[in-house]
Amino acid sequence: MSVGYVLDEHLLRAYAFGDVGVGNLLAVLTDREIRLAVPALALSSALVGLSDPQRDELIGVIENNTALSISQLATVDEVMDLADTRTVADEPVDLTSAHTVAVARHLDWPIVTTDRTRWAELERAWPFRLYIVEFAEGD
Amino acid sequence: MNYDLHMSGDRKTTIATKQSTRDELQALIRPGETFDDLLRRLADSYRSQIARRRMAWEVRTANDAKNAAAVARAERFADRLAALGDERGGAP
Repeated sequence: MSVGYVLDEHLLRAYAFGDVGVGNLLAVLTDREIRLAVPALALSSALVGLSDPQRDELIGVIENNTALSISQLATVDEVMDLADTRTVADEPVDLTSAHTVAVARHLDWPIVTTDRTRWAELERAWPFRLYIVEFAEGD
Repeated sequence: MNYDLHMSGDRKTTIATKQSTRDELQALIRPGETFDDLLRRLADSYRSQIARRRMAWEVRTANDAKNAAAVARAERFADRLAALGDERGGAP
């Protein structure tokens, strides 16, 4: 199975706020033709409170990079995947994180984040291991 | 539903739509506007949005690429992801 990566809300938001490391990471991964999934709810959460120029940059990078594609929440199966992912969690989880996990599980791709600590508690909620890779300052 | 587009200097043509689509478009027409004016306005607006976001992305990408240390960091991380992909049994 070919491997790609799922981008989380924190990474998308870091891009929108001008993180030059994330900007170059998306460019490098695109150059290498590595596929990247953007969960629709992660994108929606990342867009909250952004200025119009920030929104243009974030939507622009998705619209203009063939490696990036939005994982929608449009079909019955996609909705069921999200419901199942929330159902098996031991404690309530937010919709955005649950959708990111549902997409990652469906594709069997790791999640890439800029903030591993945000996932620390969340990942204990699920009875399966989450593959999360952090793009941190020391990288 | 068929309706004519009035295009000065161009030949008129006909676009087939569902009646409900026609009604949606009709509701967007401004006073004094023709269907052709409306469709041109919508097309212009769409092209403008796409162009604006493309330009934002191009400028951002060009500026980011000027930071050699950040590019090198991104390359190292991409190498790490590639190795992870290999471990997981797939070619990224």
